[in-house]
Amino acid sequence: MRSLPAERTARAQRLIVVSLIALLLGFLLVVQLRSQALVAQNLASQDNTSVALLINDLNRANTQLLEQSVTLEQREAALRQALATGGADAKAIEKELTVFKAVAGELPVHGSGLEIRIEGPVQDFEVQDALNNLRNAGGEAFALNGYRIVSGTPIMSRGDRLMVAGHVVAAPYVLQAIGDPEQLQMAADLSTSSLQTRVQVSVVRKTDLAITSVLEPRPLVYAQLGS
Amino acid sequence: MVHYQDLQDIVNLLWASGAEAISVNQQRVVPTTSFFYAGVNVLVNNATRLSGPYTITALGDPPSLESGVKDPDQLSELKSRSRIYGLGLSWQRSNSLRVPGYDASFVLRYAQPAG
Repeated sequence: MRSLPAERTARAQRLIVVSLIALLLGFLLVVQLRSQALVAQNLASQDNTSVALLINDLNRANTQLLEQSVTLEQREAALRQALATGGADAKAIEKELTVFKAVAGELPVHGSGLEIRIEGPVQDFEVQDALNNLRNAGGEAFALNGYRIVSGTPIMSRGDRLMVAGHVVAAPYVLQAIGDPEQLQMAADLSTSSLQTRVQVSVVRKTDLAITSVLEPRPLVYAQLGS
Repeated sequence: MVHYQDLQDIVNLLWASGAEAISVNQQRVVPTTSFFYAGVNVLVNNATRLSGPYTITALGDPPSLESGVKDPDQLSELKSRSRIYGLGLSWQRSNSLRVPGYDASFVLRYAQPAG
């Protein structure tokens, strides 16, 4: 049998534990309510279309990330194997380098996609906006009137003409994009809706589009590789 | 409010002014980079959500980069909005900047290298 002071101590300890749990639950409840209120407040300031588009974007980004995760795991396994065999599996490394070069626009590429033809004058920001939307829709390679474009390619307006990396291009403008034709089509429709009020625009899906122009690797003068 | 197009315009202008590497809030801008709206924030590289204040870091020839952003014909709409609403648009030269590496990887699902 426990003595009276020991029982009192045990009861006090239980009371403290219960009080702490109650406090913690209260805190979590407040945090939860505040978070919900904050999210609701953010969403309330946007119209239904914006919220729907936002959800759609986030869902798409999530799906892409999951797909990317699977591919990266496979690639990691291949590279680990290459490492384990003392670099004997140079094929995996070469494959990685090929992807880098294709992304940087240094290799010709082909694949499904679409072609946007614009019959009249456009401004640089309109083309940049279209390219941005196409990239956001998963576009992987681009060319405008035969000139390869990556995100670092300067596109500037010069009167009714455009300069693509210093090259003058004129209407009709043909913008080629490789990627999922369905996703690209949605992005193209978004970008061309305002353009279509003043110039003729056509969007054609392609099952196999070839982008043959390439970019020369650019030497770095100012950007030094860091550790 | 800063829109995703504003970031896109600044980045494009910096490339045109000779930038060799660019990051936005420590997210590296790569050949596949896109900007999009995500509510009041900006979605970059289709994965990372950025919120203001936005800091764009560009490596390159400082006078060329600065003359690009100072050009009154460039970013005129953003500069005007900044004056009216106090967006706090500013820039400064530096001799020692760091741009982080891209923290993801490139995956090509449609574009097949030819040859």
